[in-house]
Amino acid sequence: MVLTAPTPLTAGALWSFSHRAPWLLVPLGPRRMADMDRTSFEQIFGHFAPRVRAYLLRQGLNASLADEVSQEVMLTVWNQSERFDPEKGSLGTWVFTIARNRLIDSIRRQRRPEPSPDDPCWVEGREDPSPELQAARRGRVATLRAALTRLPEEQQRVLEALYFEGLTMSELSEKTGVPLGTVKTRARLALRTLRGHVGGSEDE
Amino acid sequence: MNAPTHHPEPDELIAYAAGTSPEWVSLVVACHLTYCAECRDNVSLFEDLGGALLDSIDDATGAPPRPNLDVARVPPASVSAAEPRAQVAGIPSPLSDYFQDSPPRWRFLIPGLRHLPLNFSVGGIPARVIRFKPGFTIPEHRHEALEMLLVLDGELEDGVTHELFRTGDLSRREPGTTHSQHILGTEPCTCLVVSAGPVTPSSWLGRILKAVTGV
Repeated sequence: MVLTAPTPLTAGALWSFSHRAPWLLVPLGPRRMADMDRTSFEQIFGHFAPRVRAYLLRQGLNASLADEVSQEVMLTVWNQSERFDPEKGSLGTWVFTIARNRLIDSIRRQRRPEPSPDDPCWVEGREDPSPELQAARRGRVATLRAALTRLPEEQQRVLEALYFEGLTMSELSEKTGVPLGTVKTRARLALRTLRGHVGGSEDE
Repeated sequence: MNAPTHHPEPDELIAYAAGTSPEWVSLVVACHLTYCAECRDNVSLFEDLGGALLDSIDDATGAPPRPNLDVARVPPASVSAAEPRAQVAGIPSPLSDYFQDSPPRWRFLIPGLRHLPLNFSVGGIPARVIRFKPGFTIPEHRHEALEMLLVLDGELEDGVTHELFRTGDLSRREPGTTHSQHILGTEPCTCLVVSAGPVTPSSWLGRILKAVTGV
């Protein structure tokens, strides 16, 4: 495959590269989403808007509310594109966290406390990602995505219930009749496999 | 400072990343994350897993209407424009949204015990930041529901297991367990304490303390 330099390289083009082949991002150097244009937003909207809507439907929102909230989430992606740094994380994770926070804020009417690196109490650790580690992590979502499809179905089911249906492990156990210990074991096995794929520690 | 050695359960970190934990658990987890790089690393992995799961949805039917981008684009609010939040020395910033007093202040409870009241309760039981003087012993008591105690400063010892808890360490008390705690060292010990249910003192001293302090 020959990469004839597409000039100018838009964030949208970057996004579609990074989405299909994250390693292609590496030689391209730092590039922010600040220059997100309508064409790139169209691509992002086309990919993520139906997925965010499906995520909200699975969380129990009705169709019209899911339409409304997923539209707001995509608008936030457009309005705050300056805040997204492809060097530091994947677009999929960023969209997921926006959708998650909107769900907590607008639908559950709760706050979601978060730690802040500006806090005088903040303690740095050796686990905090170095620039090299961050670079290595850019492809992590794609790796996880591929690894997810190879998990046994019952393990996928546990992860989907935790992330999409807003269930705790005990609630999932009650709902499905699977003993709590089995649910926990499945989650633990799934995490161990996924960690193995992204090169994290497997001891937990 | 040493890294914390007592962490939230993996389920609790996943629920925090997935956005499904109750607010009080998220608050305790967020305070722990302020001190614990290891758990921050795990939460970041679990958020990437959320991104991967979102990306894996392949049976989505229908998209929402397209937003109107002409009226929509507004510059992101700058951080400096945000209202400065109240800070108390030694208290992690996730708690700043919950101080009852403005400006926040330590209130006297009984000799050896002060607290920073929070605007937050779980099932009618207020969450509290408590400062114990050195040598203070929390008499034996029984937990009727899950309690989370996060050490923000100082050092305490569990009277039953003799485990040590220092800054950033999370002590979880499962329903139906009985224990006592002792403040070690020469410095006061500050803790965030949130219970999902009542606590029953096992001794006369404990009952008097509870009646006086409401803790």
